[in-house]
Amino acid sequence: MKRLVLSCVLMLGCGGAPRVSSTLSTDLDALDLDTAAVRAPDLVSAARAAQADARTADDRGDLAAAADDATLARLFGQAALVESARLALGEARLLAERDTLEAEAALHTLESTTTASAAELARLTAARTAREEGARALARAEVDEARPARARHDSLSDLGEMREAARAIRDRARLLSSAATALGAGDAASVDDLIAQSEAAAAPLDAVRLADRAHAAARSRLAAARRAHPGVDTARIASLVEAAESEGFHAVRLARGTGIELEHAFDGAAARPNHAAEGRLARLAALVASYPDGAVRVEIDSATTADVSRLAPQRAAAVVRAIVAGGVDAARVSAADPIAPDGTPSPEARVRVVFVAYVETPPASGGAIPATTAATVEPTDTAAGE
Amino acid sequence: MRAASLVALALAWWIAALLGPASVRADEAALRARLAALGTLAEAETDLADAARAALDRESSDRARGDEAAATRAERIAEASIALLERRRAHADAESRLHAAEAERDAMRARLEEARSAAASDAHERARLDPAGPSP
Repeated sequence: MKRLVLSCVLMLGCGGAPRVSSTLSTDLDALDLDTAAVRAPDLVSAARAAQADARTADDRGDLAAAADDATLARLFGQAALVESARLALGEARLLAERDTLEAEAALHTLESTTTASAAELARLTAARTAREEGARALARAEVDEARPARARHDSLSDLGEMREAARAIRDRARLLSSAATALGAGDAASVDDLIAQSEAAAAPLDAVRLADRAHAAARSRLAAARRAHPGVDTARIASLVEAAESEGFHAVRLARGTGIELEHAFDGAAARPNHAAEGRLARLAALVASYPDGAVRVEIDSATTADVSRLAPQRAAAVVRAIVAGGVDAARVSAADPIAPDGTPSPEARVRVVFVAYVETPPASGGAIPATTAATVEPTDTAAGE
Repeated sequence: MRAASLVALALAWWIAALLGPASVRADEAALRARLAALGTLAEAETDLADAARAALDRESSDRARGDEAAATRAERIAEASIALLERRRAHADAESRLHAAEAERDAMRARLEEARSAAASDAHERARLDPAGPSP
């Protein structure tokens, strides 16, 4: 009996066949479920419950049930680890996305600042360039002034430089001449001849002089082409008309340009605009400044023949002064010859400012803007030179 | 009255007997459908998928021979195996989404850094060009 008890104790002490629950405990310990329990507590609990079931089944000797419960415990344990890792990845992704949004917001802020800064930088660059150019030009002028008069003209001492300068001037002349041709200018032979002569000239100084003449001729061609070409497209004319109408003025399309009319500007025989007209003239001046193409002519409709020679010139001069005082370049504004009454006198002493560059072919039967019959002022040059 | 009660009891037992196996079959079919929905399996997934199928097969046989406890355990093993497969797939998805988010974040940070550098350069240029600043 003693031997039997001893052998049983030895068998148990040495372990005999390993219990399912013991092996399971070792396996689950290796999985580090405590860490996984932070993010997947339900799965860890399920694993622990299955482990307890396995132990119970083991204790009652139901090895099949113990093995099944152990399998379940391992599956739940692994699921807890995977789920915990997945949630950690999700948290990391959210952090990354938050960082992305923060960086994006910072980038947008920076970009909006940079846009304003770029404009300021461009302004400063232009200002600095202008200052530097001015300083260089001044330095050159001072050097040139210090030389004898004879030497000034031929200050390009280096022959290569002179030929290079002649080539540059010829290129510029060709460019201007091409622009003139594109605007419909006529014969370009004079410019071409001068360019050819410049290219053929043996002396570099002659080449420069001929190139310079070609350049001048090309400028003249372009100026003539611009004078003949209105230079303002219909969309801009329409824009001017719309702007004038929105300001409360009356726009008229004339053969000599687009006219903006102002009525009741003068009282009785006064040579100065009345108080109400002064404000309207200021708005008209702003309109003229906003549409800077070409000259503007101030016309005064006279009520009587006597006014044509006496009152109208004074009124036109007053309007010119008001427009110039409103910020318009004085070179653009001039008074047209007074318009004589044509049998339908204008008792309102009408003022008309004509944008001579804003002209288009009037429709045969009139349009939305009424055409006037007055056409005593000839179109003026829209531009001169380049 | 007693006869009617007996008939009703018999009818209920018959309905329960009919519905019981049907619901079990429905659970098994649902598990097999989840397994099939996983599509093509990676090499690392095949063992677990085989174990799930084996558990489902065993559940059927256990249930056929009337061992409900064993069948229930087999069903739970199959369900846990399939759930583990699904979780591994979700983990892989989360990993790829994290990588994409990190790549986007890194790209945005690079753009920000580039913009900061450009802004610093602009500021330096402005200081240089400012009339009050140093002359070149």
